[in-house]
Amino acid sequence: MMKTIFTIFWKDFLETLHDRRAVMRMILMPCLIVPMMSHLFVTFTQKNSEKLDTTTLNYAIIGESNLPELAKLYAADPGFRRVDVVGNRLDEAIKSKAIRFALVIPADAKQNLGSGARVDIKFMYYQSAPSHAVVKERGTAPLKTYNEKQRDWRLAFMGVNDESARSNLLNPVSFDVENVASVREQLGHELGILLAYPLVLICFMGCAFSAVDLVTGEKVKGTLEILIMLPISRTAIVIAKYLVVLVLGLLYSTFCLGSFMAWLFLEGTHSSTAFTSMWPQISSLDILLVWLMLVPVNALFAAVLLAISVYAKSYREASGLSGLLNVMAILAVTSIFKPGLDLTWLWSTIPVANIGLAVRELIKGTVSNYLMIGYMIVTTFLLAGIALSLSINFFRKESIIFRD
Amino acid sequence: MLEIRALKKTFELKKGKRAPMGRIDPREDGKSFHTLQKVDLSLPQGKILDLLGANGAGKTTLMRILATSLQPTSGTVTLFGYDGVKDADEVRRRVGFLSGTTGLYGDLSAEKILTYFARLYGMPDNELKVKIESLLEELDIKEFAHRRVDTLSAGMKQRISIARSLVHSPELIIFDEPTTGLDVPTAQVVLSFIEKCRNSRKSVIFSTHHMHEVEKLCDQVVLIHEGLVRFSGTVEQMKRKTNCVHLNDAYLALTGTGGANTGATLGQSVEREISLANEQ
Repeated sequence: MMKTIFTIFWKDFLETLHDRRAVMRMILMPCLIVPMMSHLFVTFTQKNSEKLDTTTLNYAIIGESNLPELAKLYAADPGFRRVDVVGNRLDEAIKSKAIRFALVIPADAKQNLGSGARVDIKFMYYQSAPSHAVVKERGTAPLKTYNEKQRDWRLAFMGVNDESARSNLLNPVSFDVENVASVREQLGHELGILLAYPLVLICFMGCAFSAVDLVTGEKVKGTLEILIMLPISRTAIVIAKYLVVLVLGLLYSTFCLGSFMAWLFLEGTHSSTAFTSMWPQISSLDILLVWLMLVPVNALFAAVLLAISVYAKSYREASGLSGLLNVMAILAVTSIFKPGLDLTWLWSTIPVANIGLAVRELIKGTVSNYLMIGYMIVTTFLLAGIALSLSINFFRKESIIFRD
Repeated sequence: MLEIRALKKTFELKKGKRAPMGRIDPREDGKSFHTLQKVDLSLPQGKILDLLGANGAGKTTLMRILATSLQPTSGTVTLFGYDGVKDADEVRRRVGFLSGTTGLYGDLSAEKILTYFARLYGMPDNELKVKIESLLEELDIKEFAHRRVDTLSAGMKQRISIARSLVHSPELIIFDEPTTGLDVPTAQVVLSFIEKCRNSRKSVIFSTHHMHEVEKLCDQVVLIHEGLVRFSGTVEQMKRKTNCVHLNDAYLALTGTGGANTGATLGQSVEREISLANEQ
């Protein structure tokens, strides 16, 4: 049986690799596109944030005459440009990015300030992404300066001139904020997502690339019937084809992981992005463990895709069913984006999502329970075994093999 | 060598494939399609048998059952003393099959395809090399044995398919319409090969719609119509039974598909037309 499995495996493996375009896709995709996309993603995010730091921000002031000193502070900042907007169209102007922020100074501002009361100034801006916080930070800076100036003046009026006394009065309780998460843990979360998401999908693509052709393709070409007329076990045929799908999926995802790590190495040694400091902190054991995670997920995808390939009577049906599986895989792996979602026993039983979470945690270096990793490897292999036995069962049924 | 007794094959029909109103084919009973209703057949070693019948008559299903890719619903198939279901692997070692729907691996060469199948039949390397060499020679494949199958003509591919079905030296060869779609020289290669099989005491079961091939090659003819054996015997017996000169007419008479022009009626109408022409 082993000899039969090897004969079929070797022929199918070489035949799949005979398609040069497919091989190029298999090598180029992970080796070029994954690091390129990662690089573009990181630099784009960084550039976008830097751009908001340096770009001139348009703004509007309503009620300028109510606090002319404050208006002067804004006018003096070369990073701002004043634009006239009618008061009731501020929302619209901000959303359309005609202005980035607006100040609304109440009519009684000067009177309140003079009488020692509080002045409530409205600061309006638009934030739908974390990078937009820069607008808030830059836009409120003159306000803060003005506030401090007024506060200092009031304190001086009250006779509190000493800097230390002033500080104690304003901050009777002081606190230092310290984030105990290491740099790796902070950056690893983002980097883990950046790696886990494409990696799981690449595993799917690597398996899908050969699975459909290996059985549905043989049905369509009319070669499957010859195979089942041979004095060999049908189980051997399915196992051989399964091994081809698994090996190709593993090769594909290994290329992807390798190129991602190469990119991270280059980021760490030749670049100055946020992830520069990550490379020295990732050990070869971490990389090996991440690679180990690819084995069960490939085993599962290979088995399910092979079952689809055995069941389908045409390429169209196989593509439709594997597309559905792809959507399910995407939905499962997007769980890694969920804020606050950690790898728990419950999540470690959910296929695909568990592997995504494990890869993320391994990159972060926050895996505390390696038993859980072992558990998810075993359960994923078990599921793969069930899907493989389903393929064998399908392959034995003439109602499925000759569905036409 | 081959004994078939009370063979039946039924396929379950899915909802979408059932005839909506009334029965198009009498073999359909609403939920199932009885492709083969009761087939009895025997063939001695070294004989050539032709399966005649219209498209959908059940010839290919019968051939697939003989080649063990399909299992009978009931009845028995015994080949070389082995049961076609229980001893399927023993039967497979002794049967070669080729049909119009069986394909080849387009990315491989003829030599690689033959080596692949020979290995799967468990042939040792030294033996398979000799066998492949002789098949390449015999079927005139040598010239293109190293070229990718996808780049070859239909005739060349058919020769490779024949070689593939013979690589394990089967004792019974089943050819389902082996000359369909082939040019004359390639069809001739196939027919010569079938003839050679008789000389080497191999049995052949083949189906064809070309009556001249039947008359030229067959020791025995089995006519299947709507899943039933309508006739079994020699070509001469078939003609005698229907009182026809031509095999085409005999076929139409036995299947009842030729309308007024069937069997003896056809012969009579031709004679009448000739006499009318003479009178004029």
